[in-house]
Amino acid sequence: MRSELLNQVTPAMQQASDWYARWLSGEMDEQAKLAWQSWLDADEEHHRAWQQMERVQQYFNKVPGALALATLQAPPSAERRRLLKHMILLLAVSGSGYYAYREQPWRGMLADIRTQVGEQRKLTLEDGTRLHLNTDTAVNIVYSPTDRIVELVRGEVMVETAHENVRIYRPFSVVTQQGMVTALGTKFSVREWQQQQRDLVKVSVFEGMVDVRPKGSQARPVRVNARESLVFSASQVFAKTALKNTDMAWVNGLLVVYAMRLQDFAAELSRYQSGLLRCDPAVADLHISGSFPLNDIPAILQTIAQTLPVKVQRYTRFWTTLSPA
Amino acid sequence: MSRPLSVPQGLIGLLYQEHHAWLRAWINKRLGCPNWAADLTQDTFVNVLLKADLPVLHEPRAYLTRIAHGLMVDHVRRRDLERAYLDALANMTSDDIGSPESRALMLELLVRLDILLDGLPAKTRTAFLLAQLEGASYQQIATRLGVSTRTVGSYVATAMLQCMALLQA
Repeated sequence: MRSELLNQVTPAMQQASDWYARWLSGEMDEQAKLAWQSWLDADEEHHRAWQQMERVQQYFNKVPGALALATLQAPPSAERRRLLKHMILLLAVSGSGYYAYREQPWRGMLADIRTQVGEQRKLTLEDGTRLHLNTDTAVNIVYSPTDRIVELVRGEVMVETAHENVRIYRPFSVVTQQGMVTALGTKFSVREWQQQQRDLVKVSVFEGMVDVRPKGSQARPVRVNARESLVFSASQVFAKTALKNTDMAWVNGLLVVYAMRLQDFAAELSRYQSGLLRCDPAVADLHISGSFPLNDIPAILQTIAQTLPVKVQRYTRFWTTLSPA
Repeated sequence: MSRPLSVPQGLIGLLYQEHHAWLRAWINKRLGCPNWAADLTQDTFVNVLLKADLPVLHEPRAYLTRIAHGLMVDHVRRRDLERAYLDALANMTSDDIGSPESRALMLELLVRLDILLDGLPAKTRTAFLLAQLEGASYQQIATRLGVSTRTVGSYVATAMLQCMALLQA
């Protein structure tokens, strides 16, 4: 960038432009997203720098892309080039160093079965157990003569265990980083996610029952019965809640919500598309209800814009913001 | 209420009398167009007249030529962009080219965007525009520019940083 501008650049602005470039790369994994979020929350100045970055984006968003590209990419006339040569100082310094792009090893890459963002997948295992993987999910299948283990590396899985006709019963468990969920002849789902930098797991039991053993707990397993949900971390078990029918809607390709905050809705929706879906704080507390087909996120956003005082701004295909209309 | 002019009218008059003809010749030599040179000379003096605080001018001609140069660059930029914009419109398949007012607004916006990108190396500028306006992937941009995806990321970050710095200025 131009040398005379360097003294106007703060470290926060450099970091914001660096994060912007990483978002645009489309390769932000969960870990990177968390790092970005904690950077953003760490300092008021980071917030301001990020908003400044968004202002630049809004600027570029005002012009139709193809037209702007053709105009701004046209080579300068000979006259302009000659004039520019007269310019007092035109030192271009390299920007390398601002941008510390790291390719992080991705644990899920090694998983046996994966789904991409926005993809779902159903499969039947050798014993007849059926798995339904939700968006952006990775599982390892580890069956042995004594155990049946599905390791949930990332995402959400619905399990319908099969009754094995064998003499020695092999317990069926879903293992997560935070602990183990053992099935007792059932249909249940396990989802892992992060909330306020905490790794959590939610178990929802639709039929039968399961036992939950958080990794760091020596206490007796917690039993979760049919029509119940339980959230736990490696060290803690939270209160059981009644199962909501809407928890299972994703299996049918639907997101069903009732009076959900728009910000939470945006967070839920962003599981199903890569890139950043942001909700302006001014509209974060609006509530939304409805049943939305997950295979058409743009249509969902359009519906939101039609029913709430919200406008949907798409800056790039990795960037969508919900802001006051 | 009018803004107080800190530059005394007499001083501007003196500046004008002494340097007007010389400045017009200076500009004309660079642009090769007497009419345009006359306009730009007037613009330069208007610019000086509107300055809130005119510095003590030890080198009045250096001062005037710096302002004139800035105006020339702006004019040529605007003219280049207008040509490129009209070319782009002509190549559009759509019949909807908007009203003259909306086209003028669009051109104004494009001028401002061009100013934000001013002075960036060509590849940096291209990488940023492709990513931001076309949503091209880093891989596509890397292939097109013959650089690594990592370098594309660095280009994009640099261009954004300059835009942020200029937009806040």
